[in-house]
Parts: sequence; C-alpha cells; structure tokens
Amino acid sequence: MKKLLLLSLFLCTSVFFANAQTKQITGTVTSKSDGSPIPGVSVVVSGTSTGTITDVDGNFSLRVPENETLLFSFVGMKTVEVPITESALYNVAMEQDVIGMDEVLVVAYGTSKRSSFTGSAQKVGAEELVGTSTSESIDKMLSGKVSGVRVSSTTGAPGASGEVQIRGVGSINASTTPLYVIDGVPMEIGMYGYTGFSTDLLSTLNPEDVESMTILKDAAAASLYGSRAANGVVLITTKKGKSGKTQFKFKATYGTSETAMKNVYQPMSAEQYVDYVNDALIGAYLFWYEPGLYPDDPGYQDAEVLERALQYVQEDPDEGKWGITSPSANTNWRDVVYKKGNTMDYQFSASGGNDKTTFYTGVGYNKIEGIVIGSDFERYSGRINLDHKATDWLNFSLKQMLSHTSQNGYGDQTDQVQGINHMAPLGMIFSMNPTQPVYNEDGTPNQDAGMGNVKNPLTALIGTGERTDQTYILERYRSLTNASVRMQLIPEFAIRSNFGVDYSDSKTRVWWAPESVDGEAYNGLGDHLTYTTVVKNASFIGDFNKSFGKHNIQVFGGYEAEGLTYRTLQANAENYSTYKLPELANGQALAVDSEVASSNLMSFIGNMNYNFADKYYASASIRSDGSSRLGANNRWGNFWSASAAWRITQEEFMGESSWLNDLKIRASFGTNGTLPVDYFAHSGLYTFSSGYGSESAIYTIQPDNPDLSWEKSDNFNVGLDLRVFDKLTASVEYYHKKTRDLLMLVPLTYLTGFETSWQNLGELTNKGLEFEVHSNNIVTSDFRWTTDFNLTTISSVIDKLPAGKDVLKGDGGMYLLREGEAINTFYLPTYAGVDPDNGMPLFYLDPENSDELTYLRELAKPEIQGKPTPDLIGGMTNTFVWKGLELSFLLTYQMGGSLFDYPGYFFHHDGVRLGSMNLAKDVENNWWKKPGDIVDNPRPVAWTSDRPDRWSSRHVLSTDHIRLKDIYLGYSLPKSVVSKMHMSNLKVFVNGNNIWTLAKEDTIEPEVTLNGYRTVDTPITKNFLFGINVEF
Amino acid sequence: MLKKTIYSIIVAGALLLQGCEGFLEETPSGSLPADEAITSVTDLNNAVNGVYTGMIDFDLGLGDFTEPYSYYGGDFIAYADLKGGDLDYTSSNNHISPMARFEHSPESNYSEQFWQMPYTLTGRVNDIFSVIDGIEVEDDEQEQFNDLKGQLYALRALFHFDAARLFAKLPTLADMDAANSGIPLSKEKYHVDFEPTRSTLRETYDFIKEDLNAALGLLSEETNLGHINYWAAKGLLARVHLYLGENNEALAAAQEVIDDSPYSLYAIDEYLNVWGVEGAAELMFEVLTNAAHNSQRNSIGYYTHSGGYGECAFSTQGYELLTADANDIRSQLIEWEEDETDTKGYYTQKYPGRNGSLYQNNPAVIRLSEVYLIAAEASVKGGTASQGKSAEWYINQLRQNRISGYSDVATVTLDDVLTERRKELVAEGHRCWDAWRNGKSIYSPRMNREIDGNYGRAILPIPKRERDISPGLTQNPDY
Repeated sequence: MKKLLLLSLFLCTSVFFANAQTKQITGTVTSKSDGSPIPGVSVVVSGTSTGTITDVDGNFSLRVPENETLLFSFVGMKTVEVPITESALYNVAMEQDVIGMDEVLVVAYGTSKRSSFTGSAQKVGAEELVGTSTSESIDKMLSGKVSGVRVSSTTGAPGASGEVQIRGVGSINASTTPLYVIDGVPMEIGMYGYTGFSTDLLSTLNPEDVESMTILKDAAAASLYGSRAANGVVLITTKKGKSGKTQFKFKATYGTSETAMKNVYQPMSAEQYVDYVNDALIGAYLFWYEPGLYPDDPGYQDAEVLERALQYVQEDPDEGKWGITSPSANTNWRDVVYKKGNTMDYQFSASGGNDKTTFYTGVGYNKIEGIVIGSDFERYSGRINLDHKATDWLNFSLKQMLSHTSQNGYGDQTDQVQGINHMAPLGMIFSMNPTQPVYNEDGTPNQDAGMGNVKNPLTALIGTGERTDQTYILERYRSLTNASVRMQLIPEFAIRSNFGVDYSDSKTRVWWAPESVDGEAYNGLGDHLTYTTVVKNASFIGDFNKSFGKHNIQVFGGYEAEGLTYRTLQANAENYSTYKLPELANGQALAVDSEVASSNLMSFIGNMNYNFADKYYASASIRSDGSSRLGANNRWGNFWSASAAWRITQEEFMGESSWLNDLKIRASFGTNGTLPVDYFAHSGLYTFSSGYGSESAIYTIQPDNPDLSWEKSDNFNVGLDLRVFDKLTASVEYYHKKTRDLLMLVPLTYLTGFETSWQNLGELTNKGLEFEVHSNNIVTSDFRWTTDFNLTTISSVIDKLPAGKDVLKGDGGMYLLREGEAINTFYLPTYAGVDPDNGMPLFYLDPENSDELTYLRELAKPEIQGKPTPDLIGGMTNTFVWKGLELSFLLTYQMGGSLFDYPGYFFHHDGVRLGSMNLAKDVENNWWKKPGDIVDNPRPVAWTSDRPDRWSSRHVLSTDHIRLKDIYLGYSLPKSVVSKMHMSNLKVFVNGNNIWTLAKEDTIEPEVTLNGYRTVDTPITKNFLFGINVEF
Repeated sequence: MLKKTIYSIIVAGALLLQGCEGFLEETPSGSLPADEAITSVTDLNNAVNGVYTGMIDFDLGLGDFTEPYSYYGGDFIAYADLKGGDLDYTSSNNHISPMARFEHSPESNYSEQFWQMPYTLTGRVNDIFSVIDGIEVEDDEQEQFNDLKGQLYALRALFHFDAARLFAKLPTLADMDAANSGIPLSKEKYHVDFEPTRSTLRETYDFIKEDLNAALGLLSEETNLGHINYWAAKGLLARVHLYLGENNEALAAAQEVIDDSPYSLYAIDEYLNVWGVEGAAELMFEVLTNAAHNSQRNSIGYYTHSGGYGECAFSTQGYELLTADANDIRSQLIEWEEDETDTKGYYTQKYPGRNGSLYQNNPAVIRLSEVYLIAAEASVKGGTASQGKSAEWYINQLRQNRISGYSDVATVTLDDVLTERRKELVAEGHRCWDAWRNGKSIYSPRMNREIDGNYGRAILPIPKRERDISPGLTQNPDY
C-alpha cells in the first residue's frame, strides 16, 4: 500500500515537473586551485529542494526550471551562485574558503556566523586536527593552534591527559581547566583513577570522530555556561553524515616514539660515577672526621689532612659498595627503562544518507606502547550519529559513543608526593648502579644492580607473572549518549530539547607481588578501585528569529538541569600465598571502602542577538545557576554578558576598497564563575568513621559556611578582525579578566573547632594580548602556501589575599602567593655558585637586602625566583600544497616561564644521596675537584648534613623553548588514478611530532603544568608515524 | 498543530522530571551536617564519644599528619612532668622533650597545638550544644540525655581548665581581675569569622566552675568507663577550687568523693598490677585507648619507654625521690630500660601498654589518690568542711596503701603533701603546676636552675597564628 502511495506521489511529481518549464543541464565542478574535480558538491536550485550532488569525477546532471539560480556549495569552499541561462552546460570552479569571516561557528547553545559573532571564539576544524599524531587525546591536539590556549603535559605516559588553560590561570584553589561540551552536552573529564597512576577520562574519546572544536574565550562567548565558564569552554562537535552517496573512509597509522629530548634525564656514566664517589668520600672524611671543608675548619686546605682523607678512601671503608672498584660495566639504565614505543591507529567510518536521514558511523582502534617498558594504552571506540528530518518542522538526532580503554602502567608521581619513588620509572633509572651490568652472566636480570631496595626494572616494570611484578592496570568503559529534538512550530519560533547521558566506569587493579619492592611489606598486595560516574543532562530551549526590514533579531531562552553522581568501591587484600594469582580472593582481605557523591546544577538561560543590516551587532546573555555545591545563602548566581560589534567595511562611506575586504571591531564585558572543587565545602559535617572504646564516635570535621559562593570573574574583551587583499585575515584582541571572591582555605581561630574553612577571599587578574594571522601567501592553480600564526601574552597576578598576607604553599613552602606578584611565584634561596677556592656552594644570605654570601643553605633567606606562567606563548603553522603533495609544520614557542626541577633535585645531590642515587649526566666533569675550578656543582660531600642540595634557585629552570610540534607530509594520488581504483581519495602520509626542540635548558622537558612543578615522571615523547588514508 | 502541541508538551515535560524538590540539596555519603548527624540520644552518645576520642586520638582524629600531636594521649600529660623536672628525656627525638628546656615560641608547633587541642574539642562540645535542643528524647531516655549533657559541660570545663593552666598564669600567682589575664572563653558555636579576645582570670575560672556545677546537676553517679560521671566532675571541681585557693570548697568536694563514691584506693599488693588495667579501682575518669584509636608515637606509653621515643624517663631527682624508701611500693614501679642505647634510663611502669602495644594506655584524668591529696592539701592550708578530716588522716590513709610497715604520722606540712603528690602522681601531668601554684619553684635539670611560676616561660605564648587571626588577643608577657 505504502509503495503504491509512493509510486503515485512519484508520478504526480513527474507530471508536475513535466508540465513546468524545465530542462536538463549538466556540468563539472572543479577546484580553482588545482583544477581537480570535486565530488560531493551540492548543486541546488536556489529556494527549492531540487538538487543533486556531484559524482566522483565532479560531474552532475539535473533537470531545472528556467530563470532560476544554481547554488554550488561544499564544505571548505566558497559557495558559488550561477544564474540559469539558456546554456545546458555549467562548469564551475570553486574557490577555497579561507577561514572566511563567514565560517559557521558552533557556539554556546547554537551556531553563529563568524561575521556576526560579537565574542571571542576560535574554531579548530578536523583538518587541522588531522595533522597531529597524538591520537590518544584531543586536548593535546590543540597545542599551538589557538591563541590564548596553553596545553601542557605532566607525563608522557600513554593515556595520561594534557592540561589545557585558556587565558591564564583562573584560580588559586578551584579548577583551572575549561569546561568541555560535546554536541551541546557538558562532558565530564578528570582522573577518576588511582592516585599515582595518571589517566584521564578524555582519552576515552576518539579524536577521529571530532568534526571541529570551538574554544570560547571571552564572556560574550562563554557566559552562557555561567558558573563553569570562568576558565573558558571547549565545544566539541562530532561528525555528521551528508545526504548523497555513502562515503567510506579508512585510515591506518603506524609509528614509533622516543623521549622528545635526548638529554633529558640522562644519568652519569659509570666511570664518572666512580670518580664522583671517590671525591664524595674525601668530602665525607673532611666533613665527618677531620673538618676541613670550610675556611674556618681546622683542617682547611691542610695537605696532611687531605692526605689522610685520601688514605681513608683508599682503604675503601665501605668495601666497594659505592662502585669504587673499577667498573665492571657501564650501563645507562635510561636505555633499559625507556625503549622505543610504538603507536598503531586504525579508523574506519561510513557516512551518508538521504534528504531525510543522514548518518555517520565510525569505529576506531588505537594502541600505544609507551616508552617505559611494560606501559601501554589501548582504545576501542565506536560512534553512531543519526540525524533525521521527520517532517518539515520536526528534526531529531541521536548520537551514541561507546569506548573501552585499557592502560597498563606503573606507579608514577604526577601527584607531587614527597620524595622519590624507587618504583617510578624515572626513580629507577637513577636508583640503579651504572657500574652494574643489566644481566648476570647466565642471562637472567641482575637483581643486585639497584642501590638500596630496588629491583631490576626488567622484572619490576613488566607484568610477566613474576614474583617481583608491580603492575597497574586500568580498564575503562565509557558511553556518551546524546538525543536531541527540534521543532519549528512556526517560521519564527522553534523549540529544542537535548538529553545527554555520560557514563563511565573505571576499574583500576594494582598488583604488588609478594617479592616486589613495595609488595614485600604486605607479602603481596592487591588493590581494586572502581569509579563509576553518571552525568545526566537535559535542556529545553525556545528559539525566536525575526527580521523586520534591516533589523534581525534572534532570541532564545531555556532551562537546563544536570546531575552528576560518582560512586567508588575499593577493596584490597594482602598476604598472598602465591605470586601466581593476583585476584583478591587469593590473599587475606585487608579493607573495603565505598563512597557516593552527587553534584547538581539547575539553570535558566537567555540570549539575544540583534543585528542591523549586517553592520551593527549587539548581543546579551544571561544565565542563572543554582548549584548543590554552594551554601544555602548563595546557592543561586547570575552570570551575564553584553557585547557589540561594528563591521566598518559595511558602511557606505567606506566604499568599495580594493584591499580591505572586511573590518570589524568588537567589545564584550561579562561575568563568569567557578564552583568549588569540593562538592560539600559549604556544609558543616560530622564524620562517622571513628570510635571510642567499643562504641561509635562522631565528630565535626568541617564548619558550615552558608555564605560560600562562586569565584566570579569579570571579563573584558576588545578585538579587531580584518581581512585584506583577499588573502590575509588577522585579529588582535586584548583581554582583562579579574577574578574575585577566590576560594581560599582561610585559617580560623581554633575556638571555632576548626583549623581552616573555604571562604571567598582574594582576587587575581589575568590579562594579555592575542594576535592571530591566517594568510594565503601564495595561491595559484597548482600551488598553495598558507601561514597561520598566533601569539599570546599572559600575565596572571594576584591582587588580593586574606588580610593582605603572603601565603607560602606547596612542598616546603616553595611557592609564594603575594599581592602584586605572579601566581605561584617560586620563592627559594638564591644559589650563588661554587666557591672556586674550596668547592663549597655559596648562597645569598639575605638576597633582598644584601650581597652577603653564606656556605650554608639553611641560613639563606628565600627570594622570588621566577614564575611558572610564561609571558608569551604561540605557534605558527605553514602549509604547502603542490598538486597532490602537502607539507605542513607547526612550530610552538614559549618564553618567560620557569619550572621547578624536582627530579633534578635528586639527580644533583652533591653527595647527600651517595649510595642510593646516581647523578645527572650534566654533573659529569662539572663538579669541583681542585682550587680554581669554575663549575656548577659543588665539591661532593657524602651524606653531608649541610644539605647544599636542598631547594634553591639551582632548581628553577627556564622553560623558554621553540618546538617543532608537528610536521606532516602527505601525498594524494591523482583523482584519475584513484577513480580507476574505484576510490575517491587515496593519500599516504608521514607525520611527526615534537621532532625538534630548541630549549634554553636541554636537560629538562620544558612543557610543564601550570604550577611549574616538574614531577618525577616520564617525559613526553616524539613520534614518527606513517599512514594511509583511503576514501571510497 | 495539535500534534505539534502534544509533542511540545512531551519535549518540555520531560525536563521537569529533573527539577524536583531538593535537587540542589546534596550530602556526602561519609558524613552528615550537624542537624542531621545528631537527632537521637544514641547519636548524642556517639557525638559525646567524639569529644572523648579527640582527647586521645592522634591529631584529634583529624588525620592531619603534618605535625603529629596528642592531648591526653601523651603530649599534655608529658608537658607538666617534663617542665616539672622529675621526668627528663634521654634521646634527641625532640617530640615533646623541648618542654623540659622550656623551648617554645609563638611560632612553634607547641604553642599552636596545645592551643588547638582543648579549643578544638571545646568547639566540638559547642557544636553539639547548638543542636542538642532539637534531639527527640523519649521519656525513658531522659536520664541518659541529662547525663550526656552533663558530660559535655564537664568536658568543656576541663578543656578550659587545661588551656588556662597552659596559657595563663596560675590564679594564686596573678591578679585575677587584670584585663586579659585569663584565656578566651569558648561558650558557644562560633561563625567562621569569629575573633576571640581574652577574659580575666576570674571570668575564666568562674566559667569553669559554672560549667562543672551545671554538669554536677545532670550527671549520673553510676560508674561509666571512659566517661565523666558525677564523682569525676566533683573531683575535678575539688581540684579547681584547690588551684583557686578555695580550700573549704576544695575540701568539701573531695570529702564527698571520698565518703560516697564507689572508688577505693589501690592496696599495696595490687599497686604494681593496676596499671594498664581498664576500670581499676581508683580510676574516676580515664580516657579509653584501643588499637584503632590512640596517639601512636605521641602516646604517653611511647614517651615513657626506651623502646619508644624515650622522652619521659626519670631525672636523677625524680628517680632518687621515688626510690628513697625501699618499703614504698611506688619505688618498684620503676624499671631500667635499655631497648635502644640512646634511650636507656629509668622509666615509670605506669604505662605498660595493653595487647602488646605501647600506644594503648588509658591516661587517668582523675583518680582517687589525687582526691585524697587534694583533701590533705586543702586541709593543711586551713580549709574546713563539715565532714572534713585532718591532713594527717588523708596522708596516712594513702601511705598505708603505699608503704609496707607504715606508721601513721601525727603532723604533715604542705611540703609533705606536695612531696606525696610528686610520688603518687608522677607522669600523670601535674608536677609543675602543683609546685608553682603553691608559690614554690621546681629544679629543672635541663635549665640547671630553680624555676618558679612567675618565670615567663612557665606558660606558653599565645600562638602567632591565633593572634594573626584575632589581633585583639593579647600576648603573654615575655613573648
């Protein structure tokens, strides 16, 4: 029956067309730049639904009415309009749309044309993401591509996330990460794992499914996300199908990786180490037995005393324990712990559809073997995006992503724990004796190679079912569901609704076998931790659009609710009877723990855009957020923005300029917020876990603060966009973000019963300039050279602290928070180098007030030693396309920041850690041996209690660097060849990242997290990849 | 159009499912706000336990391990004995031993933690008081409710008494009405921006007595292991009166305990075996320790043994005093210990530990011997009470239970009573105050001189962090 109906419909239409004044036309669509045919171009009669799509060879044929206009459109190309004349042949050459003013931006709760957008936002398209080889996590792909955005990594471990900051450091104690929104629904990110084993929910997302990302930077762009927008917003849009022929894409990539900088964490050679030990023991004699190190020591520069010291060392008091006997081997343990990693990535997608239904389906497999032996990351993911137009007024879509990731790793130290973990791979490199061979003569791993209680990394790091295994395994499932519906009730008014469910389940299994370094104390420890998160989000929005003459008004308003619940379950067991069975049942139960917590947000949003004749633009937005994380008195907060733009080139008085294509100025002001990290920071709380005698005991552990509120930021932004000579677009922006009511842990009088409470005190300002240029330097029919350049200046300064008092924070109070100084300023004694006369270290006694020096670090007062936030960051991409050949490279740079080299503190120990730790290679031939030596490292003194190695300016190093972040060389086979193979595209490529780095300090990885603390972790890697891309 | 309307309603209506009542009210799974945590008498009992456990749990049970400290679990007990000079440290572990050198400054952890401990627990008490009226009390629970409420008053008095002894001059040495001579009073639950100021010493002690008297009107007379009962509060009140020189009141209160309480003095033959025993005959109020809740390495048992930190061994004068009379059973409660060479010395055996753990010793806050000694002291100073007896009677009673073949003495002096206190209450946290409040000095072996209660460092400085928060808090002289 249905078929019959369709048939009659079809007949009617045919009759209709037959009766109209129509004719058959044909044509070919080619690319203006290289003349190659473009398949998939939509060819439509303007104002109708009559149309078709070009085939593989760019050809089309269509029956059209006369006196109408043909519209040729294709993503990334400028739309072409051609009037239908008497001709039957319409060959069209399409021009690339150069990051035009008219690209469509995905913005908060909708889309906007770039030309009419009054805020600060930037889009990164799939094509720009493709050229990056770190396919494990999308955040790392943003590096260097967007002004105002800084991406850094704590660790090079596979599966760990980067750290993204938009426009400086937004907070001292609350979150500094942006909000991630995928297809209109906020997405949970974060660790949700085991402390000491880096991982992030972001790595569950397959970057290949991403169509574009938009970075929302100012209030006009981000304020609609209210209480979560103060650190900017990253909008992720996933791919969609297009009506027409089904397109299949296949991509395979394989590559290798190694540490990005070869001098980072190189240990001292065996020969030098033996020498160093010798000198350290002489130092020890002169420190402990006959003091003669310092000028006022009785044995100072006394030849007889020195003779006795040499004698002491000759006698070998510690029986060769420190490798003083000639080295039997020269092992670089870095080469044992770090190997060449490799990456595999396979992607397959199919997309297409018809007028009513479009789909995108993609599956991906990604596997990375890390550079640390035994570490890897694996992801299987699948996505279906379905869009359906049920009637001319009803659309709906369903998007579903499922992924499974697994990660094998090791205990790392990204959480800034005190001390060095001898089971962290980096700790291991330096805890192994360089004079010891890796293997025994019988080929088994040498277990006596460690200094102290350290096992050979070959058995400790690799989970091979041995009795010395120490393994960390994470398995994670994630599902992202997004259903949306839109109804155009009348031409001016539509309603839409969006529902999202974000589910993740992360299971970590830690296994310390009974004879492993850390497992010995437990006789085997198994620890299982499960984190489950569920985020439900629903929004309902009404849209109103109307044009009255030259006035265009767009208004929307709605309601949104979101609830997050996480649940943990942990169980562990000790005393295993065998190393062969790590499951908990094979040990004795130790402890169980569980926790559940929820955080809810309820919001009302409103937005209005007005434009007059595409010349003057004004926007305003408001959001009212209520959060369960806040005190009852301040639970609701309002966030708003107002912005305007003026497209000067649209003014008649500007006339038709030959060179100035577009000029727009825009300004915005508005407010955003940040919620407390703690879900219950406002609530007075009793703990129930204690006891007294045989009874239960409960007591209060946190004061209530019903006034606890958001951190609020006032954002001002002014920008100028211009396009000249049809080839260059540029924008300059100035931002000024003042954050008030910073959440600070404020000390309380103990009479309250508490030590501290979270209060809204403190202010800080982030400001800077952003500069972007996109230029088509040369565009000819078969050659194209484009340059994208961006530069950002950052200043993050504290304006106000509780009672105006300095706060020392971090490990040993190494960070200074002081009004007028940069956030997280390093505050340490100043190292003045080595006294050439005696080799002892010198420090400034009171550097802020005098030049006086002291040999003793403990007497030296601290002073400001730089800051982690760089003054300047940016990147530059150059792309060259010649026929099918494409070369692009991205350089990133950073200046004016510093890091604290925590690992370096252990590897420049001046003898303090003699016998438990090797030294860094840069100490080789760079320590004091005889009077007159000008060197960086003092005379070593074994186990000295004067501790010259303790933190000082010696450990604060510059992070200035330029890096070849990405380089990409691809070749697309000519269409003529490809089409014979029944394909639409075949491309082979090689790709590399972090290939080359020019750094002020080449012994430390300069990309560091926002607090500038280089943790004891695996450095990031450089990767070389080869891949093939097939479309058919 | 109807279709559109229906669909619209469905689309919009689905949202309302989320926006139900209480959507923005969330509580954690491991803790509750005060008004939800304490709703029944059972909850109240647990909350009162939460105050007690803070007295012995490491770092008040707050899990803040940066600077370990303990209250009655160890540090507070050791304080008065180390300053008093009868105990001394052997090792250089420097946990509580700097007290023997009177080494503390406004910036030091000692002043901060000795301030933090009593006031934090007072804060706990006040937090409970803030919700106590909302508790549902069944008729048959009224007695227990009253008892628990009484315990809270008594605890608050005890904490103020401790803070006053640590941070203010002793009443007998000071002008009681001088401004800022006392300590800040913690009378109620305070807002987070509260800035306390000091009261006068008279106001301080009036508040302590007021709370103790309030407690006495509510407390049960039944023995209650690990909890303050009527008798313990009465004994503490006797002690407070004694400190104030209110000898008549001190004697009356002490006599009531001696006459009517269910406690009895340890006998000679049991004296060596009562230590480390819960609910021993003299114990009016001991704070309970167990494997899970104790002061770990800051516990008194760990301080008083060579196998621990060895920071509370006998000084020469202490050892000589205790061992002067071989017939005195107390001379046998001392052992030479040499678990570690740097901690060898003579140690008291009052804290032998339970279950093989030095961490598990219940500190005695008040026990019957002290009440006899209070009565004796009040009497020798001229105090009278209706049932009161002579100082000699109390001293003879006690000594008969301590010294084999003891013959009663006919007269005792104040010095006799104080010496008896040194012997009986050594390592229980009394010594320096007992001497100083009587205008006497102690000999400090570490300072190598006599020190009286007017010495500036006889009391602790107000911690700098408290004065940073509350600029109105006056510092003690000499700091």
